[in-house]
Amino acid sequence: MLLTQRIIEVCLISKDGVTPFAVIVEQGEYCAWSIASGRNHTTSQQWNGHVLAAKERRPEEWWVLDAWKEWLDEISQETPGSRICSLMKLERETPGIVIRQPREVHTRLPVGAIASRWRRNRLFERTEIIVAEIAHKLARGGTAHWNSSISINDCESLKGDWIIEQKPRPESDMNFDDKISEIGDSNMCGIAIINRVGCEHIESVKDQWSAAKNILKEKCPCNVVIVKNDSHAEVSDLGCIIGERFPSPVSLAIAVVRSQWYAGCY
Amino acid sequence: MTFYKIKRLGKKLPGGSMAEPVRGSLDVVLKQDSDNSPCCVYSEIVALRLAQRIGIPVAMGVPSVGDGGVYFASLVVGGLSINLPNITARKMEGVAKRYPSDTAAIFVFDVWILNDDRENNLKANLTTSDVHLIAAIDHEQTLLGRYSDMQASLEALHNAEVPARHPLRNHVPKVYINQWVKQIEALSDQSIEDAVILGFSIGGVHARTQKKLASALKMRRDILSKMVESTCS
Repeated sequence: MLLTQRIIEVCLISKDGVTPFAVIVEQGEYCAWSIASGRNHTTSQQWNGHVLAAKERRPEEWWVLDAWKEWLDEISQETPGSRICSLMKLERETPGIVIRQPREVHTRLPVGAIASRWRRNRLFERTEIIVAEIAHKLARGGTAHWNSSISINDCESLKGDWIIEQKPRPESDMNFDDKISEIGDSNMCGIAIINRVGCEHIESVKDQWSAAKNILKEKCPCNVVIVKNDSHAEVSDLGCIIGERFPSPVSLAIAVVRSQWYAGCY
Repeated sequence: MTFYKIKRLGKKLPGGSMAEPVRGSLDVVLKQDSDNSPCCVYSEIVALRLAQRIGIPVAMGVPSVGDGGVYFASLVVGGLSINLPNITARKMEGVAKRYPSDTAAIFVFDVWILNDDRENNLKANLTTSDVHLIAAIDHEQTLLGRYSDMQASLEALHNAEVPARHPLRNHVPKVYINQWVKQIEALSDQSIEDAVILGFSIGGVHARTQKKLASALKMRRDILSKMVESTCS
């Protein structure tokens, strides 16, 4: 039997828009919550990057996230009526915070599972989920994985051989040389992004990558480009995507998530 | 010391001052009188003025005027780029353990001004971070705002009514309570009158009512230790 669950988002507001940073899922007396931090609710984690991005929020204020976790834990144990009062009071008296009820879901899953899914899909920048996952795989052992089978959480596995290119930020609009330079000057090793490269760009990317690869590998152990190697595309020795499926150099990460979203995987 | 959140930092002001002043704005919660709370602004202002005289850790605020009339602008506590949630009743014991003197101050002050609305009206850091942050907020339902009718609130104050459901009543060490009772008992009549009788009307609270409130608070100051005892028992 499908059960109706109510989704409540706690959002930060700023001139840049509304950013959900926590979710409460209710079904009758049952309630679960989740927040935009690392997976482990019991330890302190940094705010998720896109939550911090707006309004000059400061990562050193990680402890405020802990305060919010405690608050969420508290109100999740209240009765539904009492909880809604607490949320209304919160919204009324806490500037910068707004409560939204985006939708109800009809599901057989428990509230905890829905909260967990909502966190994964809404509280994080979707690209970040994928790049963090890949970066984690790459960082394991401290060496670059030129061939790796990638599975994103419990969603559809991204089977194939991949090469990852690291950048300072996803979707940066700097040119390649600038990106290489910035990566080389920093000690970033946790962010990765998958690039699709159009056929018309292959040769130039090969040249650029060939020139930069060794420098990057010295400074950051997992700086590589990802490419999918299947029937629709080939992987060159230098780690570039070749194939008709990649008509433009947009982020594959975004494309993959978008297609999975529309396909109902989330 | 409690810090407050800067909403916007503007440009430096022209001039050769050594301090180089900068324009900026702070985040505030604006409160206004309503049918349910007809003396909200007055109660907020007077509670703050009283707290400042004693050194109670309450969030600062200022009376202000906007398109909708007179407001009390309560500064958002924390000085953080992301605001803190309020402390719930279950966490009060933890707050009292971490901030025994501050919570004792807030508790004794609440007994004096008849505030039974402290649950969810306290900001404090209870995380592993060592940032010292505690501040009482929201005094709308105190003093003349204890009940929706001003006369009923005055009567309750005169009748030595106490905040029987106060969430800190069983958690604050007695030694700290006694210290803060003495602090309030040491307040002079003149000091209380200066804080309560503003010399002008706010909302529907005129000089006559303000004088009655001062009188009630002086009476409550004199029996404060008994009222605190009665609240804790």
